[in-house]
Amino acid sequence: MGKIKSAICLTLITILIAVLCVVCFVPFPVGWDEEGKTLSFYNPIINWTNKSSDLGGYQFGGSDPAYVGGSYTVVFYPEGVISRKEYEDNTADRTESDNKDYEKQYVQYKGGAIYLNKDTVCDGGNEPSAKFKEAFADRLAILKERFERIHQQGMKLEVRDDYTVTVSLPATSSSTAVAFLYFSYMGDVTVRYGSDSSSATIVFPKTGSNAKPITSYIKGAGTRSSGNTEYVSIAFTEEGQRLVASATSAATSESTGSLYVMVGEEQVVALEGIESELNQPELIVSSTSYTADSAAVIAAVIDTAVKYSSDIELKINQGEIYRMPASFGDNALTFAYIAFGVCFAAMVAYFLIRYRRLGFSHILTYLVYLIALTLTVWAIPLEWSVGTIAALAVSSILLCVSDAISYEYARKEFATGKTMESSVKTGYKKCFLSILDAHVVLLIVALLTYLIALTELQAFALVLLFGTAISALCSLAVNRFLWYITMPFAKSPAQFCHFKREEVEDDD
Amino acid sequence: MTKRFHSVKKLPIWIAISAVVIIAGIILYALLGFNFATSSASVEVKFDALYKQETLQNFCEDAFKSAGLGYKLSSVSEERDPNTLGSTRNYLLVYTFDGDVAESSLASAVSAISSKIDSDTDFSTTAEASVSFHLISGENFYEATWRGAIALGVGAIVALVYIGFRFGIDSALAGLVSCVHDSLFALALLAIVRIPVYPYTPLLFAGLAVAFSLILWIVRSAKMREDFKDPSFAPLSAEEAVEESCAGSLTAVLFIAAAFAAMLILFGAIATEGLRLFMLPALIPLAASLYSSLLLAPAVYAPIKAKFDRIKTKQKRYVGKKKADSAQAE
Repeated sequence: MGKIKSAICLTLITILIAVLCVVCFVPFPVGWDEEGKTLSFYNPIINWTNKSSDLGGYQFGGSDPAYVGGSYTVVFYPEGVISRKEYEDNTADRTESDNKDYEKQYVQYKGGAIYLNKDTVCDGGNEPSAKFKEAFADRLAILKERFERIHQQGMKLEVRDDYTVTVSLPATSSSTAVAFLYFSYMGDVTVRYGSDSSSATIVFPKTGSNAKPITSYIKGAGTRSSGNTEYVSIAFTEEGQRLVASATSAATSESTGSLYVMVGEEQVVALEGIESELNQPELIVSSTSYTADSAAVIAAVIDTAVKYSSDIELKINQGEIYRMPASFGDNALTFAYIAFGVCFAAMVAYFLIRYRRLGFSHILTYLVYLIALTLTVWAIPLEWSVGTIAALAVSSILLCVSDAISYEYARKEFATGKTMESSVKTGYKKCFLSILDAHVVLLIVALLTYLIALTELQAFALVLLFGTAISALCSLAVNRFLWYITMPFAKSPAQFCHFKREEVEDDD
Repeated sequence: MTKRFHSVKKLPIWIAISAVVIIAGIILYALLGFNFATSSASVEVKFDALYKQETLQNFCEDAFKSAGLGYKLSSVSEERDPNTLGSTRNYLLVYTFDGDVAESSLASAVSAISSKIDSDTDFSTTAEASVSFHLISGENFYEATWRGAIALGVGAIVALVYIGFRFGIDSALAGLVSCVHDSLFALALLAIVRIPVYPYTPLLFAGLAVAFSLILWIVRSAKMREDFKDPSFAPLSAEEAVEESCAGSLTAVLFIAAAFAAMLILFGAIATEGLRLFMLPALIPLAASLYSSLLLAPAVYAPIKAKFDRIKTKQKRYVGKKKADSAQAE
């Protein structure tokens, strides 16, 4: 390529990379008031990208900048267990004589972190009864399974003070409020038919001498999706199907009957305005309020209620909800950016010292990789978390090593006396398969891990998959092209690349 | 004169070292498990907008200092409405402590904070604040754990099948040994050193060890494939050939490991405590993979290569003999 063509190409590419770098990584002020004070900022794409519950940070600009990342945390209290704050509030609202009666009902537990109702929890004593402990263990297992089923990255479940449960869901989750409310519903599943859920007649399970477990009527629940509509599906057994058909056999277009699926005494699904007999093995219900996440929550509630059906009657109450900052600390992301900046500077220094001006072609290649990966993570959309940062680190190093290997192969060829053009060609030819093999192996591992694993590991694998693919493209195509267009400017190609010929000893 | 360290000939030593570390790790894991940073204690102050956060923080920190408690301000969060997730203008100040902190110390600190809040006259009488301490234990989600383990296993096996096609079955077998060894070795080291880690960390570390191991083994295998085509390697025994080729790829292996180590150390040094809890322990899988790539894997590969070379020679002889017989018969 001629010098002029190279200059035009290189200028255009550099301008494009610079513009994309600003769009992706550089915040800048875009609005000022009369006194010259900054009113608003342009937030780069890296700021807009979702952050996991571990990492978080404030976007730029405004008097109250938005916090991105972190989580929502809820506390679940079993029936008969209340927080110290609730106990204090209740005693503050009562007269002294009422307080004496109230205080007799409760016993302090774990230094006053929670208060236990003596009748409900302690069977009249001062310590939780064995029955309560067993019931709490059952409810904890149900909560764990329900939250596990929605596969949220960065989700946390903790037991506090032995008898309360805190759950954190990432702030990016669209089903937080629904999950916190619906997952607290405990009790057996009943299907009812009538004009409203409170007065509707129970279709099944039957009670008394005909009593059968709920699994005799319902096989399970799941979700379906068609276009933009999300559905909750409930699969009936033959007996369940027959009972629903018989209950709805009298339905006409003028009747106002609805079919309700309840968990405990809470309505979970309602199929309203039934106009004809429902005789099908599967009930498929949609609602305008359903999203993919909320439908998954509702299906998980029904399915786990069927699976864990028992005589236990302990209710779980949804307590206070807090908006928590990133669990790694408010500044975790800022420090991660700083650490990344230092690593980037170290990489730049290494390549410039070892390969002089050829190092610029690697730096431009790396920037192309970084921009492409940032745009991919933002567009999919994925979250920046510890796992995804680790994947970025692995694929970054893969790219740096691949570029360094290709330079070293070319250096070896050049040392044997070949021209620069021939050295680059032969060097790339020799290392092409090794670089490709490393990328293919990581792509295979990342793809399979993404397909099988869940949550953090899945996010790690997906970013590694994209990072490795982009790295392969950058290392084998972009880097070579940039090397090709930067070379025409070199008066001495050897000096440009910091390559040396092998010294041959003179026998004479 | 430079002396070369003959690592390939010392396979029994590397096996013994690995066995000791892995067995010790298994025993410690069985006895104590991993040191998950999940058991902790917290002091929480719930307060409304009428209180000044700084004043409450001073009350808390004074009380912790007088009780001799090491504390960390974990978060200041806002209570949200359960239906809309909108602000309620109530707040929660959370201090965290190590899981082994004495309950009595926390109780006395809480009572000191409560009495300070009650006796403070600067705040409005309608202002509300409540202090309590909590003992917390984290729970694991097992489905993510077992699916992650299966994913890594399947991914590594398929990758090794690819290595088998590209570099030969002998190379894939040594890679398999290396991957399994590195993940176990990393987990064993994690159990032995008992660094506090997050619940998902061991699995991620096993995954990182497999990834590091595959990368380093591919570098080794690529170099060996290139070198073994060289006629100067033909007269060498399998041990000598592997050792000679590994000496040639040593710089690349060390460069890759150093690049990863530099990145982890920099992130660990600069990042916040939470991120450090992940980044610095991640040096463990890297160390396991580096140990295996430098010492164990070449030593494991040499006898496998020798065996495969013998089989190849036998096959060549057999084919040669068959050809000679058929030529004679003709």
